[in-house]
Amino acid sequence: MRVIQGWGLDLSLFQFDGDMTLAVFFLNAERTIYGRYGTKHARDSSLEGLVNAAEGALELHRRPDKAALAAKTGPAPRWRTPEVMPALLKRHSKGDVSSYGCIHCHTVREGEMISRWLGGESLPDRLLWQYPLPNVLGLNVEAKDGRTVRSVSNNTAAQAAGFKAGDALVKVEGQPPISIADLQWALHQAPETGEVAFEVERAGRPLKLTVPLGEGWRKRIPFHRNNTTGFLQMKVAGFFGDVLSGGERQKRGLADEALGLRVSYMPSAKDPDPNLNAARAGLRVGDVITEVDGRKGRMTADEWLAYLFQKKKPGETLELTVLRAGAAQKIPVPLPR
Amino acid sequence: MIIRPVLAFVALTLLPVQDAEELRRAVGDVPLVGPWIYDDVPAGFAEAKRTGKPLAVIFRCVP
Repeated sequence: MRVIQGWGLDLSLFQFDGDMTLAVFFLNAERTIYGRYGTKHARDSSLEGLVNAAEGALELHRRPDKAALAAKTGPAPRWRTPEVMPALLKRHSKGDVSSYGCIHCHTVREGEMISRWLGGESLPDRLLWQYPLPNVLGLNVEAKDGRTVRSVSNNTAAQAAGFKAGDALVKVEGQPPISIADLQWALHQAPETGEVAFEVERAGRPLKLTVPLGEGWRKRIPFHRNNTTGFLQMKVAGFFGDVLSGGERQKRGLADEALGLRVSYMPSAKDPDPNLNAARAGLRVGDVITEVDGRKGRMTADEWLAYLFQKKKPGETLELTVLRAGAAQKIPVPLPR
Repeated sequence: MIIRPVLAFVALTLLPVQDAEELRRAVGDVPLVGPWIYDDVPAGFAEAKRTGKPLAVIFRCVP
């Protein structure tokens, strides 16, 4: 079957990386999930991979291991369906499949993040760096089956754990993977520090390998994507800030290590439920932010978003210094409540 | 290659048959195993239970 919009989606069952153009669940009539398919990156997606994932699901259907599959269902969600999330209440209505009105997969993710933030939460890394790819541990897995280790990156946790190219991933945290998306699922549930347990087959022999999770392990791979994280910036900050490139910095006399966020987009009053605080405060497209709350150091796109969602609270003010036509000016931007 | 495992899954929908067929044509879904089911997960589970087949739920909006 095909789900084309998210109104009424049961989030106690369907938990997945919504920041994609295609996602697939394989499951049985009793709601046991055999596996997931679909990742962010084109290099990790293939028709062959989808077929192999389907074959893997059929194998599990013929010989289900309920205990092993139980963990493929996630914990109880904060909100049972997307449309009851506070951040999505005004924006959407059932049956609205217009581009803005529809509850897309990424809308679910954005809705949860913004709803939690509006409720005063500082978002944990797990909700920013969601569904990490196995590359984050140094495991480069074949897209065609989601289970064969193509290579192991040097100086990584996977290399230290003893993984080798050609290893077949039989289980990760007790769950049999049928695709890379299943590996992402297991890593999404993994703790901030600790370890991830693998059962592997190497040259026909079983092997157990444990990968240590050092502090900040999730952050090795960026989560930022303009199309979805841009929306998150717009809802919280009221503008989309682009990290300036080296050439653009030079033109403005900004050092490489300096903060240089260019305001490249702002919402319009005609947008549904826009955050116009930054516009009303006087910020303009083209302004270059050189200081935020006293911080002048360079931030990546991930760090900028993490700053908003982890260090700022609703109702606080973003104290900005911006460069406009060669002159600096201070613009305080109130954040929504 | 894709047909064999797909035939083993339930293909599913919620809309009246004519509307579902129009949508299917509009989005280009291939009718490999009969009518598609759109946006009706309970109907999908019911069909999976009736046939004993597993369910493939594809999340893809109308582009």
